Amino acid sequence: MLGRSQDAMEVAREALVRFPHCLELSDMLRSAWRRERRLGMDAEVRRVLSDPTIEGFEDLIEKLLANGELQEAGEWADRMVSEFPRDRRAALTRGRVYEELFRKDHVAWEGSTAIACFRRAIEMAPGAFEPHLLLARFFAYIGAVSKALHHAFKALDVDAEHEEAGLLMSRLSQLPLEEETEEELLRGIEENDGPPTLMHDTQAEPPRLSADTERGVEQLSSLAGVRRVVLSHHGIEILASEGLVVEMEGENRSFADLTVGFRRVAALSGKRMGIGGLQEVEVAWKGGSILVFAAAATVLLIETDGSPRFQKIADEGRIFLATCTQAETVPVGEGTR
Amino acid sequence: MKEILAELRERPGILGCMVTTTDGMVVASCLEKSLDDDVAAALVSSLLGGTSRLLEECGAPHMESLTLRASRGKILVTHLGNAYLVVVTDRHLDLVQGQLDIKSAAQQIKRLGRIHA
Repeated sequence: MLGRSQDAMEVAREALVRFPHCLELSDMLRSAWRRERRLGMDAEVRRVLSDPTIEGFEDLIEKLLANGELQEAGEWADRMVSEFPRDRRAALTRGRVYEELFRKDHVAWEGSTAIACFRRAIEMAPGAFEPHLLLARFFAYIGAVSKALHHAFKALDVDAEHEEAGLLMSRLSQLPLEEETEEELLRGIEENDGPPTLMHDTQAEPPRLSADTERGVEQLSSLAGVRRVVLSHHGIEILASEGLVVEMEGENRSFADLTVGFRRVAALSGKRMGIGGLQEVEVAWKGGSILVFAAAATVLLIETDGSPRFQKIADEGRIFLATCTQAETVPVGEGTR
Repeated sequence: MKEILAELRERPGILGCMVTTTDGMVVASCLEKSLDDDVAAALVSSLLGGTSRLLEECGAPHMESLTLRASRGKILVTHLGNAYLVVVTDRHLDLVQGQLDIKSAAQQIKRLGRIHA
């Protein structure tokens, strides 16, 4: 099937109908789909390079965003702004891309870049609706309520009937004004790896992991060469060893807490060193290793006995994390205001 | 040691490098302008601290290597005996060539003898 993505996708789809819970098949289908999308993307890149129009850049960036290729979208957005420095659409597109990057990795300078781009778009067209709404939305996300209110007002000045701007305005007007500067808020989000939670739903049930996720953690811990597996998802931790989830007390509690603390330190190191959001860490010693995988508010740690099956274990961990973050929902009240 | 680090820093894809003691004190560094020496030292120290607490819990004596992959680059830590070589790279680093360069720099530093903060 090498190089024949369409055929691979067909076979994987058919096999998934027969074995719907097979993680490897799901991953195969996902990889084939990505390869197919990448081929389309490469054609788009060639088109933009041969005829660099603003519409071409916009199309390419939209496709990269849809494909989840945020870093590459960021690089093309930078290039777009240097090619069209006086075009409002270029500033807005770059702002949108950096906003997505910030929402994914919570790196402060990416948030500052998004704000700067939206402000630049306002400078170029002070009466335009969209940049005000985008800024209002972004300031609301980071907890800069007064600034969000200001831009929501400005947006409603242009279009008083706009439903989303009206809703945003009414939600914002119930919130306390911020005391920090926008830089302090962005740094706070960077440190805490997430935005403040101000809109708690007290009626909502406390978040918990699905049975499938727990089973997945148990399966990972039963792989040859694996000693322990810790999963932390939105503040809920479970630890499994030898194929079973174990009680979270004593040594196990302490190991889970260290996992969460390590993720925080590792994520902050990456961000402050200018290399972006944390994806994976691999620590090796004689006779063992630790693999840490991070995605949004989820972290998975696998302790191995230094087995030669290390790469296979790492692949299983990646597949599990991708599946788990798709299956688990974000608890109510987290992430946005 | 400064010369070895400066030479490593010149390799494509490498943003900076430093040698630290096992408890994270910086012995020598060669970082790009955007990376502040003190900030980088504090970050590396807390990263190594967090790692050693995890290793303690796993009953491991000390780490041989650490690779942190992030969206825009990597941090690679290599054990030098009584110190660590910490290298920060961008995401375009050729990992095979980069690891060869790092290994060679690590061996040269080890040959310099015992490292003190």
